[in-house]
Amino acid sequence: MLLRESGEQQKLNLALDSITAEAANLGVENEAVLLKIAEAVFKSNPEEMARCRDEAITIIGVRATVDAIGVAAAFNGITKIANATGLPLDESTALSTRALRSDTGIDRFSEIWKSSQYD
Amino acid sequence: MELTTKSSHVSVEQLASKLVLGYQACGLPIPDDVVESHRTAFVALLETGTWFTAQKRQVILQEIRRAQSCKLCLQRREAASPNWVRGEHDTATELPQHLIEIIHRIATDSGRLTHKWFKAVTETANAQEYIEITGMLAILVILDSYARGLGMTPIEIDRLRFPTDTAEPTRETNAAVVDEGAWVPLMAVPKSEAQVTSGLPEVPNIVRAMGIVPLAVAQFFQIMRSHYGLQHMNSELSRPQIELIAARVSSYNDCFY
Repeated sequence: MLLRESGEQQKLNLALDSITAEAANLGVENEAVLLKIAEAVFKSNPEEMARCRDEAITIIGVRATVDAIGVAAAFNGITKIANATGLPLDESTALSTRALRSDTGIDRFSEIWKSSQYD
Repeated sequence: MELTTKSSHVSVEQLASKLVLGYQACGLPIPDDVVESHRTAFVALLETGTWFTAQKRQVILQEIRRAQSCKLCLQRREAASPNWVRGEHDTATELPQHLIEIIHRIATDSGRLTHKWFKAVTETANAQEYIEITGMLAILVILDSYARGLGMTPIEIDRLRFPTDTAEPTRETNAAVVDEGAWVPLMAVPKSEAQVTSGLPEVPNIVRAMGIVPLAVAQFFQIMRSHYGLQHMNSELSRPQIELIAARVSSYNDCFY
């Protein structure tokens, strides 16, 4: 949700509806390698991570690569809390992102959808 | 519950020092504040919590690690619904079954947890214990994900000597909580003028989610803040780049929030 706001603040016209797609094309600088880092950190495969890290260092530099790994690691952790507590969206976020959630398929991560599928 | 201490086992402080030295020797420019926050987080994981002793917390950490190779968890992940697969978890400890279930499910398949599951597991464990475990697990995930991301081996909890912290948990509950539709009560916060004006919450729900155990909030966000903040971030990445990674990892974790 904050991706949308940060894009607006920097006057970027981001194609957010592809954030959950396999081959995203949102319009963020160096997004391909950043998405690879996100995937590699989540999957935690050492060989894939090493390849990805080397590629990222070449493209975005070593400090940015370390920062990107840190953000991915942090969200790998914080999502466990959100998932485990059935956390609803903040009221203002829920209202302002209704269309976005529908377009991106994020609604399938909602409590109602999960209950219908897994209980 | 007894933990044997072998002569080859090391103290929390020794492992914390090893963690710091590992970051410093890995050949990558790990920011000093990240190194310090990870050291602090690791040491805090092995201290007495609000609901668990230091000894019990060490056992919980071992069980979190064990969950990654649990056959039942693997079968559940491959099933259309995890709730259709019955069996017993592969465990590393003698923790009670309801705590094992909490630890393994959050560690391996948090994206498919449901309220029905939560109500079932918290019939035995109380919500405060559940939150303390969740906070610990999230911290360990950050430590491990970061280490693997850098090409390092995650810190070896199995080699830890018995914790020297023998303090009893206070079991204090934060009464300033409210029911706002989450599975657990959220930390109560006044709706300020600034929030009404900007439309953004001053205290996001994710911070409030662990509100019934304030120590868990403090320990988790101590490490979280070293990698991500809603404002002032010392990063080589732009805000859209940061939020792109955050959104993608959240998507992989099936996270609605």
